[in-house]
Amino acid sequence: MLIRLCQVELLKLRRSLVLLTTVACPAAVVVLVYGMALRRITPEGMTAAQWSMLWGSASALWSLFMLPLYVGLCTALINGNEHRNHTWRLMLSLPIGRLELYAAKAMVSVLLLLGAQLALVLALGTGLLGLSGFPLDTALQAELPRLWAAPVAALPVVALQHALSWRLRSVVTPLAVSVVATLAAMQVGASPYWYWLPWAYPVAASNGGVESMRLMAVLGGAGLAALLFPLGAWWLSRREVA
Amino acid sequence: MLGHKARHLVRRQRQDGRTAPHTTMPSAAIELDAVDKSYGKRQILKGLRLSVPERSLFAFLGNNGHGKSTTIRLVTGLAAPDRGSIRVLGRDITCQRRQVLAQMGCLIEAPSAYPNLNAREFLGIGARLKDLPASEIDRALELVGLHPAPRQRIEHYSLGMRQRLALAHALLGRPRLLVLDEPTNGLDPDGIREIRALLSGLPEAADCTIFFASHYLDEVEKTATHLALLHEGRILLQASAAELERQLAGVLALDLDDAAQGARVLEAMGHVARTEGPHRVLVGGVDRELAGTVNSQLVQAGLVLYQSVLRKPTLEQWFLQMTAAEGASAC
Repeated sequence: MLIRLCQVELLKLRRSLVLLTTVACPAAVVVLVYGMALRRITPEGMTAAQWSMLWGSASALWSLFMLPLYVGLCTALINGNEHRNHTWRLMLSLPIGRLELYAAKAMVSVLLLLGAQLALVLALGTGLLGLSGFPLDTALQAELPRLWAAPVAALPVVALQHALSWRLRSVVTPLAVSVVATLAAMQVGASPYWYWLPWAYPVAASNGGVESMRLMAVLGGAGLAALLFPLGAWWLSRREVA
Repeated sequence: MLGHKARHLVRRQRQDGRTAPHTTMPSAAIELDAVDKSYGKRQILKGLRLSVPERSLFAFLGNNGHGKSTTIRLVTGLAAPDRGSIRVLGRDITCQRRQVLAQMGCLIEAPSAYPNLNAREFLGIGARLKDLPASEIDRALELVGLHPAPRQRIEHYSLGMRQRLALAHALLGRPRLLVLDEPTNGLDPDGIREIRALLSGLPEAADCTIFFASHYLDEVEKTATHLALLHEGRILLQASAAELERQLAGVLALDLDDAAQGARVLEAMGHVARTEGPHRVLVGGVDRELAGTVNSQLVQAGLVLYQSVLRKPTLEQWFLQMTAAEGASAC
């Protein structure tokens, strides 16, 4: 049933803004990073360190800024679809459980997050392949695995934003929380207290200065998400459909 | 004068400690027993008892804010009662919600849909979650007479088309019970007639029960086989349409050769009669059976009876009178 529900949730997203943002958000990051880099240097003159820096800039901009905002937007739109169209009653008068619907929406949010991450990697890769002198070995061995750490570390943000968006009829509050928390993460992310703010986990996981920080962000993110998803489901299952 | 027997029926049912004449009902598709429901400090339903017979077209009447939608939410498992039991299709909705909903179709309040989808995609949601074949979508669209352009998105539908689409969604999978909130809301007169005809035939043709809330009393009068009147969280009256027809008292207008003599004869027999001109007598509190008796008594008394017309109150008149009387007694 959960798989069917996920299929249904994906069906609902046809021709929606969510799919557009899944491609547009990572594409915007790549365009911005390449634009800035190529204004200063030519591809032919770039060293391996400069390539790595370009890759790291894209990764940092994505993990620190765009990814948390994308998660906020994505979960707000997925749940807002039901609020806006008054379809909660329609869905919950079908033979499905409320928790299943909650889980399916969360799973689709995670799936879209992975899709956006893939779009980022593909956009980065496509851009890099168009340029010469890119050290492919370095990218595959060091940078690429790091990029996949960000979505795992972002799971608690998905859990929190999903619970908020499910609960609140207006999309404004979840989006405001997303923006404020992202801005806060920009400040807290560089401090020793980054682990208090889940919105700082993705950048810590992908661009953390030391290995232990990156590992802690990934494992902490996964662990916190494992706690937050059931907690959110329990909190929301106690409320009746308005 | 209108409806005093109906009110008497209510009083009698209350004295018996019940609100529904269960003895005349077959097995129930929906059964609510002593259901209480509050939101915050406001008690919406107060010891609600309701029995919806199987294969009936059951109209659920009541003013806004008196608990109709709350009752529908409870019946569809969207909310849980504070007290009392709710059995739907023989199962407890609070414990076996999923099994019950698999055999139910619902249209709750406004026709809701996803505007970015087309009709087939939208119906595909219900079909997929109820594990139905794609042919079921065609059947449902055919049933409600909706033939949309394949690529036309729901956002371009009229309100009437959306209503039909929501009804088609409810009809997916040949449900045993349809719970509909204002099913003809937003439809044009032709659409109302079509949906009414569709609903009227469904209980027999599809072996299903229809429980619907409506404000259109004219529609209820023409379609419902049973009805219940909800007022301030309680059922004022539940009866079959035939039962209500029998119970509703009317005014008998008689055209006689001598109205004064006729009135005297009727008063001597214990009727409340009033003359209106030299040839017309009005008799209050008369049902069909009593009208026949009055007619024959007048003829036996030697009067010439030219015409006898029994004017029954419309359902709307009855509804307004019942709710007004209950409001007055509450004060």
